[in-house]
Amino acid sequence: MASEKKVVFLRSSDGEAFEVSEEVISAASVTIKGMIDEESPSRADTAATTTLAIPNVTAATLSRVLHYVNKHFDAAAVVGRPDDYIFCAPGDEHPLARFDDDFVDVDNDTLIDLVHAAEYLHIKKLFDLTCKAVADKLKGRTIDQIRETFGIVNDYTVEEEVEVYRENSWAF
Amino acid sequence: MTTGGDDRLSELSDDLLRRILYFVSSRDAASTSLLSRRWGSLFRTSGAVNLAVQVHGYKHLRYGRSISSYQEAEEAFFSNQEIFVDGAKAALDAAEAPITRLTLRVDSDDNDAISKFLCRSRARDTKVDVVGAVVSHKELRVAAAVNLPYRYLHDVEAKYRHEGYYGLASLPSETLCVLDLTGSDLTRSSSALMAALPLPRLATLRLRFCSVELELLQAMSDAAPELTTVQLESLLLLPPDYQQKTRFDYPDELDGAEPEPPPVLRLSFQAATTLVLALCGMPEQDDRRGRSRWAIEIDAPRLQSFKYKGFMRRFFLRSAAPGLARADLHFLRRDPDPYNQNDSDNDSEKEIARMLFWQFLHNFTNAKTLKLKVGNDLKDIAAIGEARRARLLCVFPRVERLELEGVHLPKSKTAAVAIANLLHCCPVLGEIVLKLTTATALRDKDSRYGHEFLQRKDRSDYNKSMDRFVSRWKSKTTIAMEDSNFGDNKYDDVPGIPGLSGRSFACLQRTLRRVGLQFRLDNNSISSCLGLRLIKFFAEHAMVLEEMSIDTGNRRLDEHLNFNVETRIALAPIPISATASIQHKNLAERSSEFSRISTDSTTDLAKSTVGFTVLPLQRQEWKS
Repeated sequence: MASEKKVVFLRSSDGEAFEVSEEVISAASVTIKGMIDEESPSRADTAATTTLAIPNVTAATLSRVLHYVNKHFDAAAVVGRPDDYIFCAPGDEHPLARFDDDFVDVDNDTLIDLVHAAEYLHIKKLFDLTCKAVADKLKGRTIDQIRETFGIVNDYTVEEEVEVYRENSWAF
Repeated sequence: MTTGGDDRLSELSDDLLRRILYFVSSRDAASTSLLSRRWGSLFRTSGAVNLAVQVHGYKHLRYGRSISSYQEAEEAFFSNQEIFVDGAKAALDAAEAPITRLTLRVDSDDNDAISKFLCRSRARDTKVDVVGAVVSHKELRVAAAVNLPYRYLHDVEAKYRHEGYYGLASLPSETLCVLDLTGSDLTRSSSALMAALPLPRLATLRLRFCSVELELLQAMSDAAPELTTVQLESLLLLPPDYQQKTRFDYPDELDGAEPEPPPVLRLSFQAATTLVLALCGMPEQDDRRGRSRWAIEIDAPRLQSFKYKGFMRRFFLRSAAPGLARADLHFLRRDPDPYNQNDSDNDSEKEIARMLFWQFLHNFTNAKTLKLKVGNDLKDIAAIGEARRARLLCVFPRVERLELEGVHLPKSKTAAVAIANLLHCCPVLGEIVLKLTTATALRDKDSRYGHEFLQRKDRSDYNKSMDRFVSRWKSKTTIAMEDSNFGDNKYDDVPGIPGLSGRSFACLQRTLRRVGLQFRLDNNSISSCLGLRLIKFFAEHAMVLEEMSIDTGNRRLDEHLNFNVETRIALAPIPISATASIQHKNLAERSSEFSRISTDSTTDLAKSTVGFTVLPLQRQEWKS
């Protein structure tokens, strides 16, 4: 049985390195799995651990992402099919549902950083989770509230605004 | 909460914004067009149309909002419906990219209101088809959710016909990838669904709280060559002849006639890799005799993960599924037959349960991960004695991770036998997680009994803990410990476990590296607590153990123990480095780790003095 767990190091855009199990991160991130697969011929039989540069993600965001990845992909990585969501029977609250809720309960900037990171690293579950979290911030708010929340500047002229309103009047 | 004028949301790429709008209801999505030019018509290309509506029944309309007459309530109801239908049409018209996801969610506090909303129009006789407004799309999710009656919230297999809320008139059979239906009587839509076959692209089928004919389900599976994920939850499965049989049409058992063989639920999913079968039931049978003993036969040769939740019953995988790596089985508690208190019958009942359990497991000998949750007492699955073991047990040559959750009586010794059985069956086990509880669910008992029982138990718990509290002070003088405030239980006082101690297990010798234990530390019987004895057992016998994590999620412990400071479990010189992390559920952030690395890896285990100390009863200040 493979007892020694292979690890890789991920270096964030601001130079901080994070250790993560290779098995776990490969299950989670398509991008990093690709990087590891590319590396692997050159590091065959060498004991040296790999360090991968993640140029688009800061240390603050990367540590959050790895927290998520370790929560979601570690236990299931045994079989390599981290489909825990599917295994959520009716009435069961998914054990990670609360973790997820708390995870995306962050300020807008952090959330958008996470969206970018999830997209870049190609972590589908995290990508959907963060996009949904942004979507939730658009729900049940007036246009003015949304503008204020995200700092969106209204650049319509009055005539244009009336026109858009008329076109989509069914939604208001 | 502005972000300093820096509009990072609008800076996201079109694709990202579309993805975000993908999850927003159509109405909200369309209203984002007014935010700024950047957002103008982005919502039209998100690819999703998410329709959601809250429906109120007449009652609510009349009492909730000062509408007095029936006519006014009716008027309000149908104008709500018309607004919704118009909005839905507008949302579909507004979409410019191909729609890949169409969701319809109808919420109501009133059962009748939903079917009325979806099927009736203002004029009594004409029917409308609200759901029928379906265009070409890949994903169809329809959920008509009433606030579910309480019985659905418990772990019960479906027994009753679900109320039909809607029918499906047509399906985009060529392109449909995901079909997700909740709360529907599919018998009403069977002709539409049959007409939609084949479903060449269908990959995910999820049915929840539905009634469906077995034949229809099978036909859909047969006609969907790419159907890899099947989730059937709380379904009422109707056998082909369900209409001819009434509920009371069973042979009179007084005749002594041979009972009919139990019906078999046969389903085949040739392409499925993931199958969930949770709380599915057949129409109610005679509860006195039939005990819903129907069997399940699944043919899914490509299955990789399987989850079952329901009663123990006969279960076969017709063709071997060599890739089946993960099985997650949750067996519901079956209460003793209240009409049959005959002991011998009870015994045979238990023998049957034991047999069913192991026969069920026989199907998963390829699994790498096995998760078992047993509602019944763990002793009910224990195979005691050579003959039984030979007959029931099987080997799981690949299981690396085993999780067992179950109930045992505090005094029972046979729970340990069940654990031993499983250890014996898994020669390459690397990780074991045991979640043990001693309390059995009382919900099915007479509520008054339960109340009295708890009262009595509380009182005796209190008395016992007071006794211990008092005796702690008494013993203060006699036991000289490092800090004289504590009594102690020495490691040697923790007895071995019948059924486990003195046997040899292959996995303990070579492969078991991680042990997780979750149990209630019972103050009254620390020395006989199975959890503690298991800690001792694994610490002594697992030769390559690396990590043991222990969780005693016990609130009562709080009252007496400051867990972090006064309770110490020192797993001292085990030949390798050993870590015992002790985590208290309610004090998660204050969890502490103890580790001790033995310098001499050749230490003879027998000679090493393994210290195991539980120091009880540091009473905390009461705040009344």
